[in-house]
Amino acid sequence: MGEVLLKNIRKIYGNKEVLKDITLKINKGEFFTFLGPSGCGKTTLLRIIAGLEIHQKGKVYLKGEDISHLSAEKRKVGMVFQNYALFPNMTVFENIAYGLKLKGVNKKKIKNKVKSYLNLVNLSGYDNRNITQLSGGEQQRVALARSVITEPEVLLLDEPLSNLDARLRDKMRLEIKELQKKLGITTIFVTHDQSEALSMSDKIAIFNMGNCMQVGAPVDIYRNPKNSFVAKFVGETNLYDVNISNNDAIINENIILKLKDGKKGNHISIRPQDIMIYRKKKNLVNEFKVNILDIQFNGATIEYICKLKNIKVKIWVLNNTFNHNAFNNGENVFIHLPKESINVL
Amino acid sequence: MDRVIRYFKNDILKHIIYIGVFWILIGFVLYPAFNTFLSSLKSQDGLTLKYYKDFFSNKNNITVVVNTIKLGLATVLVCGVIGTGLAFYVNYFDFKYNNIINKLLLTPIMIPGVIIVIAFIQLYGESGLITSTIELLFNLDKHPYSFKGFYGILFIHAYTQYVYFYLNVSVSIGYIDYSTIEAAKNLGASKLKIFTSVILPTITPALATSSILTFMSGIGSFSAPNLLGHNYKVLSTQILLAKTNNYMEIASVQVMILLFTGLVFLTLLRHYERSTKIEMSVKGKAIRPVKIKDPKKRKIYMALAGFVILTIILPILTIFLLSFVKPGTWMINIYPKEFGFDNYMKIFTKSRVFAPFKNSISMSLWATFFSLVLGVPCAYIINKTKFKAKGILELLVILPWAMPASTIAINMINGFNKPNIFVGNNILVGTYILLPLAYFVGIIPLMVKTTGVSLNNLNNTLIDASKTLGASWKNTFKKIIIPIISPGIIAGAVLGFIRCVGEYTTSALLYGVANKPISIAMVNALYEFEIGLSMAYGVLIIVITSILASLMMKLRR
Amino acid sequence: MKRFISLLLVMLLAFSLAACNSNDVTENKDSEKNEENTELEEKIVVYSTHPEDLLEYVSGKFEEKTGVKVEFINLRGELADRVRAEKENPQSDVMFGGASSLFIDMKKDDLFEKYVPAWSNDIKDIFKDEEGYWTGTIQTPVMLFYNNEMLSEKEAPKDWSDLANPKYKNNVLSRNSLSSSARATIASLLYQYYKDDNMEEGWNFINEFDDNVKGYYGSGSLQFQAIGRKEGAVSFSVLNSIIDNKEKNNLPLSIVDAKSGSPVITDAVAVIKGAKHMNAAKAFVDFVGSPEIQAELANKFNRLPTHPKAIENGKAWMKEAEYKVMDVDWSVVSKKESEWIQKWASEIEAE
Repeated sequence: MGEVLLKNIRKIYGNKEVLKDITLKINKGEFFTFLGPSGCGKTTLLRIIAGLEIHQKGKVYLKGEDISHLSAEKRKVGMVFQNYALFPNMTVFENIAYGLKLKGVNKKKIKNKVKSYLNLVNLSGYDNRNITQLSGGEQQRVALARSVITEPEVLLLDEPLSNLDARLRDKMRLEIKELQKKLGITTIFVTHDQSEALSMSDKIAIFNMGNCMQVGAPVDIYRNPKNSFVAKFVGETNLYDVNISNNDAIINENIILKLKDGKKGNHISIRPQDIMIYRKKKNLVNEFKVNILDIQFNGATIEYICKLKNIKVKIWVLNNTFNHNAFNNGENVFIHLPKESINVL
Repeated sequence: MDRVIRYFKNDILKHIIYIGVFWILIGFVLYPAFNTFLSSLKSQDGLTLKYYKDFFSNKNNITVVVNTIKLGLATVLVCGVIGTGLAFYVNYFDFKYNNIINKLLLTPIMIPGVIIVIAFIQLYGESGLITSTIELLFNLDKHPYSFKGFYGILFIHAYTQYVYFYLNVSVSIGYIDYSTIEAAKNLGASKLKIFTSVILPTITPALATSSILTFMSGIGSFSAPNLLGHNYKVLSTQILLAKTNNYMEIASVQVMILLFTGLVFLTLLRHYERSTKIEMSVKGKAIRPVKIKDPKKRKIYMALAGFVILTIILPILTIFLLSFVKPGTWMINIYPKEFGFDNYMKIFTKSRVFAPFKNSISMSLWATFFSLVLGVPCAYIINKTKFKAKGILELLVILPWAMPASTIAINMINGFNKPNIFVGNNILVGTYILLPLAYFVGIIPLMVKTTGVSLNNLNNTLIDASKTLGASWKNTFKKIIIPIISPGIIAGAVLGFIRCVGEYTTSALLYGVANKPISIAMVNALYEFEIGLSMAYGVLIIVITSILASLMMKLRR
Repeated sequence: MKRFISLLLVMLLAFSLAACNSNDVTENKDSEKNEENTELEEKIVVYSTHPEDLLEYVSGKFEEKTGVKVEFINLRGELADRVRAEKENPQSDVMFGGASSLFIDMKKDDLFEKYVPAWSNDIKDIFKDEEGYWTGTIQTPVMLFYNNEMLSEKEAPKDWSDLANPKYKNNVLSRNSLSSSARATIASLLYQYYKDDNMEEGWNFINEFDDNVKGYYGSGSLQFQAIGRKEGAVSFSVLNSIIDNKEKNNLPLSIVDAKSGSPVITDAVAVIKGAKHMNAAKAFVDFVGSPEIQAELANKFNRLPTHPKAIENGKAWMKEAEYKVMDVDWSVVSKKESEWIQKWASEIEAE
């Protein structure tokens, strides 16, 4: 299993710069996710690693070796496609055995290996099924087995869960994660779904318009977004333009927030669950009187949209047996924005 | 530098294929057509529009052109009504025998036009079997109808050409979103409104495509006008006449007019094809066939269906029946009286009589084989690559579709009656190879189209997946691409072969001693009054094409 | 299943390859032999207007005699055009059949090889080219005739001008403009007006004739089938066809000895210039016009010979029947025929 290093990757498509200057390191055995909205370049980058697209500048290293000019079939990568790309003219067995057959592995070995991998993806006995008879989830598992049976150095997954319905998606998330752990294979996962990325990844790289906006572990990215794009894309947040002077963030010239020392930036972001909301004034720092405009019941949480002077603030409160803060629409209440929870971007 | 060398090595084969493809298309499609264009303009003093001016200043010539277009349009109208009506009939009503009816309705496509014309003459001609039977049954003095001229030709066209409409409309009926119909009903739309706002828009692309194809085959029609007598003059028959009188300039002018008309409609076709691609991705509830419960209505439906089927099968039955008529026994009587296997014996024992059969098969095989050799790379380049000149390639490949058969023949003659660099400075006129070459040109569009459809069904990610699994180009081609597209390619090849084996118009203008095809033998036998022999040839062709067509159907599964 | 089909296709392909190759091989051998010897080549190619049965008979006899294989096609009215198209690379060796007017015209285009067969000495000058480029083997009179079960002798036409007589409206059947005999006939009729400098009347006649025509037929057999089935009463055709149909098919036909005479088309034969099998071609010309063969064609196919000895040995009616011959200058007809027929066909024929 190898590590992947991308250095200064640049890709132009027609006259559009699809990837601007990407440098990334994916460690051995890591579950690494490329996250971003459609068109951000994440799939292109994945295909460059696979050798299916040619980049204009930069290098791709696998296990320390420069594979930039190696053709796709010579690279030791396995890939699962969004539409699974199972060969319709072959059975499940033949699909999975395809890569091994090309390597010249002998029949008996192939048979045994295919059987064990079918087992691994919980499809024992499916050998002779025609792939057109398989459900979405089953097809995906065959695609997975097919791509890892050749024991590649890296496994690439291109939005494999997008075509599945919600319940199946959750189930497959777990299965993929388990498989990856079992095989310990370096994996790069592409998705536009931030909750998927947060729940599955060891590390996430967020992309926007061909740029890598931030790289880090899920918790890190969530708690410490480096720019407003990341703050908005990953999780919900309250984001405001500010002028900062003397550790004070001024919103719209009429709201002053006290910040931790030495922060500089143009925006601040604070998560809805970090803001406190209560009836009686407590005289805390960054405490404001607000009016409740709208209340949304989300099951485990209650969301309050409040008006503070001329900005809106979103607040989440956990809905449990001990937290009965049932406020009413139109009520005037107090909110507190802790200094520690404010991210300056 | 490394990259540059690698690029070149990989691409030498690619370059050879690209050059070869263009060489063939320019040499055999564009250059001959261009020669015809030139010969319509050349005189002793250089280029002139004289021939065109002369042609159009003659009222009779204008009539010929008008006739041709009139015939084309009338054919479209008639075939459109019949084909669309049948399509709805078969797909809208749930009926036990619909499957069989569907198959039967497709049979005319397997029978070469010239055979049908002969069969029709024997059935509906002035002293034909049907005509005389009607006269006998109803005790008529005068003939109930005249199977000549415009209406005779139109009748034959209706029989042979409705299939385009029938097929295309049937397919697009499958795309009608039934939930839209239900929604419209809910909103109170009348049946007429539902038809115009839901059904019509969905089938319009099919109607457009079929109209254009039918029009192009209608204006190029030759066997019907030629064999039904010269009462109704159209461009194809006049081209033959001018050629026989050695007025090659006039022939070329007429060929160019035909070609021009074809090109205009071809452009329309491409425009419609492009807008069709968007429609097909919509999926909804398929239209559910309605069961007819009222027993009286069922009887009417069955009667109608029976009548339609009878009309379709009748010529085929006639061909089979007449093939057993003993030679020389049917000059005076309306109904033949003596039957036997003589005709078939003749074909299989006398080598001169068997030769056309052998010739047609081997020429058609050659033409089909080479059209595949050309068609598959062309289709691949057009559908799966980003080659910059692929627009030109597409145009060249489709050009023969705008050329009615007589046009192709004249082009071939004009292109190859002098030493021609595209074939190593040889003259091909009169040689064996010119006719199969003309066949080849005629079916190029068909091959490229059917291969293209198969290739489109081949998702690019399959190729990507194969690559990432370690397959080289060769392996991907062998194990993935070819197996997946081969049913489509074989279907195309079978259709192409069927078209060549029964081809008459081009053959009439190009055949020679060594390659007399079966269609010419059929017509010759007809002319020498061996109707039975003629029909026996016809039966053999029908048998071959049916076997191939059913093989093709099986492969589609 | 798929493998089987591909195997089948490959086999068929191989089969056709073999079939094709056999043709090519003989070609090469022949062109080598052609140099300066008088040995007969292995085969010849004959383009003709005569029907299959006659051609088969003649070819069979020739093959028997000389061992040379004969390949022929009956191109009917398109014969001249094909020979012209192949001028730069002739595929045929002999043009056998077709009106002399056609041969005269084609000689001008330098399409023939000069060759005078031995038997041409005994035939009249009108039956051959004075320079020896073509020679006539068959006299083909074109006669008016009618179905005598539909018309009595009184009602029947007496002359060609009757074709324009309105009393025969919709009762006349004719060959179409692609028929070589019809072309020669129409051209001869027009010539009668041309020689009196009266073309306008001539075209009137053709127009009125066309008004009377019920149908134009692409083949003799369809034409005679129509007459037999009483679709029309009056027609005209080459004499041998009329006699054939009377004798073999029992059609009730009567021939009209037209008052102004009937055109007699001379069917000729010539060697193609640049023929690939020159010696055999010449041998064929010698053979096909020889008095023996002319007599056999007379007896078997009702073809009136040009050679006096053959006429003697021919059928009875050939010696006795004296049909009046229409006066036609074929060299003039050969010049004007294309133009006249083009006009007839494109402007008048079945408007």
